[in-house]
Amino acid sequence: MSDWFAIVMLISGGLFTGGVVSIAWERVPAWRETELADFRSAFANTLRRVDRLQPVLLVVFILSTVGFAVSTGGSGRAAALAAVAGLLIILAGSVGWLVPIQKRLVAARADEPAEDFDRLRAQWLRGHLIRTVVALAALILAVVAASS
Amino acid sequence: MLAAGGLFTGGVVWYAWERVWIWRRLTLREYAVDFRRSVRKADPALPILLVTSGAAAGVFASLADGTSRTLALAGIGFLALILVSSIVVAEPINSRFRRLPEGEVPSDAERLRRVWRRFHLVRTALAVAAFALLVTAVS
Repeated sequence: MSDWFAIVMLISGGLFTGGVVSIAWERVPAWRETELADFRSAFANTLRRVDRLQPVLLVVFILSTVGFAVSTGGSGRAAALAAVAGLLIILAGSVGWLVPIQKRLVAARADEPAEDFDRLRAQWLRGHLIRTVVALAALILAVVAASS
Repeated sequence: MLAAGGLFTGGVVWYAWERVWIWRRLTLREYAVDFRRSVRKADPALPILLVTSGAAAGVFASLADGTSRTLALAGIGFLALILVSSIVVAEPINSRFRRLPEGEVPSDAERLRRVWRRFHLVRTALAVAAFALLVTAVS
């Protein structure tokens, strides 16, 4: 049974983390340089696509990692539980911090002060980079857990 | 092998899911600018991840035996197919956009966009299959 959990954990984890890293690597530098109006439309388009896939992959990654931790023991379980802790931080940080910022960025009116908008954009970009580092750590822990 | 393979596959899937969908909706001029910038970012990173995963899978296959070895070799075969087909099909298209100054559109850009999109969707399916084979080999 732990083999099946390991397969689902690694595939969903690879796809989730690869997506998060791609946004950090490819989109974030582009978004930093764009004008605020262009940023808003590009950001909204990306969210429209990514928000359908990434949350599903994250939840599958969490559940399969929990399943793997329950069905194995020793260092594999410890690494899997550490990965789950990181993933729960990503989930809580996304729901509690980044999603509200996303909504404000997309819904912002053209007459709102540019400084407020810029501050929110900087916060979201910083938050996404933190999420990327934690996702990478969780993927590495999941690989270590499956290999032990 | 798995960390690099996961990041490579996740990156390729992200392009198929997000960028390709958005690029279909852009004007050719907008597409030329965005595609050129995107390729500049992705080009060093994704091939490095692909080669790293393939090389590590080669080491794994040489140390493993039985079904694990067979699955790892099949995964390597898929990765090699992605690498060769990317050099033959995608790279010439990338170069057509990269060689021009930003904002300039190649003469047959619409055809290039269509060919690149179709090729990338096939490459994505191959990458997911290769990663699934490597994961199963280890598990």
